[in-house]
Amino acid sequence: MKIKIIEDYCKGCGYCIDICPKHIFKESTRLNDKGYEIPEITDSDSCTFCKKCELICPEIAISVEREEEK
Amino acid sequence: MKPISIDELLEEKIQFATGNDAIVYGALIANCRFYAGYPITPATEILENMARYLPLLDGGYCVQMEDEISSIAAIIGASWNNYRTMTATSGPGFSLMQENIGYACMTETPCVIVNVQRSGPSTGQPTKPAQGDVMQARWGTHGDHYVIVLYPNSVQESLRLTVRAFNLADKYRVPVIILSDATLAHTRERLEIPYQSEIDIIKRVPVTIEKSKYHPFRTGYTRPSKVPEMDKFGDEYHTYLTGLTHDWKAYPATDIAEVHEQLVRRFYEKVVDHHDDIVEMEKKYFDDADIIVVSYGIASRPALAAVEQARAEGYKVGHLRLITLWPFPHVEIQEIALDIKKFIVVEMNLGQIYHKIDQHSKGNCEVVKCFKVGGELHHPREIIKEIKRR
Amino acid sequence: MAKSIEELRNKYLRKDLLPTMFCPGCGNGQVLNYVIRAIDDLNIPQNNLVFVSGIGCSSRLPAYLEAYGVHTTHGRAIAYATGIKITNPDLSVVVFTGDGDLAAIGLNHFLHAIRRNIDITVICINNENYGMTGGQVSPTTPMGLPTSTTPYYNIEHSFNLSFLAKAAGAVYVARWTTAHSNQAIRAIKKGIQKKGLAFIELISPCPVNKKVSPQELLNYYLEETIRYSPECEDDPSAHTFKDLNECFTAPWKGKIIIGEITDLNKRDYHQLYEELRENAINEFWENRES
Repeated sequence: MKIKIIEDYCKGCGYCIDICPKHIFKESTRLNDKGYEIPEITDSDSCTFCKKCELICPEIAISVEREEEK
Repeated sequence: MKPISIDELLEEKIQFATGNDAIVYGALIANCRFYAGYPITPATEILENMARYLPLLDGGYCVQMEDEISSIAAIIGASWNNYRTMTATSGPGFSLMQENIGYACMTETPCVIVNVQRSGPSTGQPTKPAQGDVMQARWGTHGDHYVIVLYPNSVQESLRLTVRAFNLADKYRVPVIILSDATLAHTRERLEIPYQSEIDIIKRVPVTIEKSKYHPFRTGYTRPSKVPEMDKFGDEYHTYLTGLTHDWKAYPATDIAEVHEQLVRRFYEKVVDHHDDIVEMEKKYFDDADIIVVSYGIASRPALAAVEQARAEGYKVGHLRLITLWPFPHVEIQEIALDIKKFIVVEMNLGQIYHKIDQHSKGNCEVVKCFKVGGELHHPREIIKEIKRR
Repeated sequence: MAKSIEELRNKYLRKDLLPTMFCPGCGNGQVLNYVIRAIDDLNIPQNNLVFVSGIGCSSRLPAYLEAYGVHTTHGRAIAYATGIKITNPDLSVVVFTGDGDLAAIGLNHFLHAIRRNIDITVICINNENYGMTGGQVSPTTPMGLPTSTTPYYNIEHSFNLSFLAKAAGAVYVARWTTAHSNQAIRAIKKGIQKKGLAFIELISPCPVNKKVSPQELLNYYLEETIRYSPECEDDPSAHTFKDLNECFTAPWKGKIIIGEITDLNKRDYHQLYEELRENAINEFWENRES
């Protein structure tokens, strides 16, 4: 799965971190231009495409897409 | 179900009708098809008659709302469906409506608000006439805004000015207030109801430009005018309306001083630039007059009677009746003041238009008060006394 | 086929206004996320969408949507929406409001629109305070809590807006939190499709004024809710309340009660008005003939 966060929109609320059943999002100290902490995406291979992160994000910043299989 | 046309509905063209009736007929022939209101003396008959007539007309809706605030809100919302809309009330309800009148000014929404004045303040004398809301009609809502205010003095003129009010509202995209009063509302006089084809209906200018080039509050780029074209719901332009200060894309722009200044100045200029089109007045016996009695609305009835009686006794007195109260005819007053010795201002309040006459006379003539409160019209003798006073 | 989130953003959001002005974790953003999915699933013609709002953080939502938006005066959105819907019943009119805007200054208009059964969808984003102005007490702030205008603690009871709407006779009432994404989307869809006044209350996080982290509120909403169910078979997450008062007694006190509270059918204002019109016109012609 390809998980993308539009970093300009992210405000570091942390909902994606808590909601993901596979704990793919993790706290990080990386900041965007506005100074918000952007979550780190680890292990996107365990993503089950449940899309809870897409739904919970207040900035509609997260998108989850199936990666094209070769 | 055979539809009913407006001319079929208002079949009886000559009626012995009240001022309130005339406002209803004027609205209907001017194509007003949405009315939301609340009962209040002495305006209730307007709501009652609209409730009877509007369901009979195609697309006509009338609803009694829960208060005056929701009444004015509903008519502003409905106006954006390309409807001509109206509400009517009296002093206490007019006070309640002020916030949303400001919203209509800020969003440049055409609508007509009738205030059938009664003696105030507060509950006052509910069944008695007064002219105490003249300044409120101009300045009732907060902030820098402009409205047009008209005040008829007869049943026939109540119909004519109602038709005119809708045209001015659509032409200038501004709320238009019709003042009346408890006496004019309930007095019966001969009324001639024109056929719809006999009156002029000036419609609002619709949006026709391509969507990508459209800006809801930009003016002067499709045609020379300070009045923007008006969108309607259901179309493709997706206008965003807000009471916040906005730029010409309609987006809130509260942090930019110039945007706000340009916006409120345009509200002012789009009306004031067209002074000659909007301002109406009636002059009688001016040729030899060195005293002019100024009055408006119902007080003009005893005022004119007083002037004519005084003239019969040899006094060189004329009568000026203001029909448009706002924008105020300051240019005209300034000019008249140069040629006369005094103005006598006759109004049923403790002095509202008086101050404007005084201001614009600029000391070139005397300005005399002839006020009356308590819910009774002036008796002509009270005005003649001022005419005769040295 | 459902659109991707990027396609939804491009179609329904005014991207030049993003990111939104909402605080990190604000429930308003989540509601925006749900609304664009709901309106897309329902295939509502975008030109017929009119979003009406009052004043408050929730009322800023229409600005972000590529559709007609009417940001009105405090508490009056429903009155504007009434005029809009009556004169153009083909429109889909959705009201965004907050707990202060709806239940304090706007309560009167809310109750009367329910009584008239105007076909609009009212989405109340309830964060239990006046958010925009810095956290003052609102009619839904729980009793006992300190706020900026109850600096000691709140001594007033709070309304349960969904129960109020049910008692007033609304045809569809649902109450969820913004953490219940799928339920919220389904409720919004059902509300828009329902003929008559649909009321959807979404309990929403306001981390800045509540002075807790967004994540704490999210977890609270997921854990401390109990489903209001007309019938349930030993489901620990649901309970059949014998009456609304039971919701305020232990052990339910302090829990957030969520679920579909009411779903019934009644002729809406428009249907009744058109019937009136037909009767009035027939009477007119009968009188003419005689």
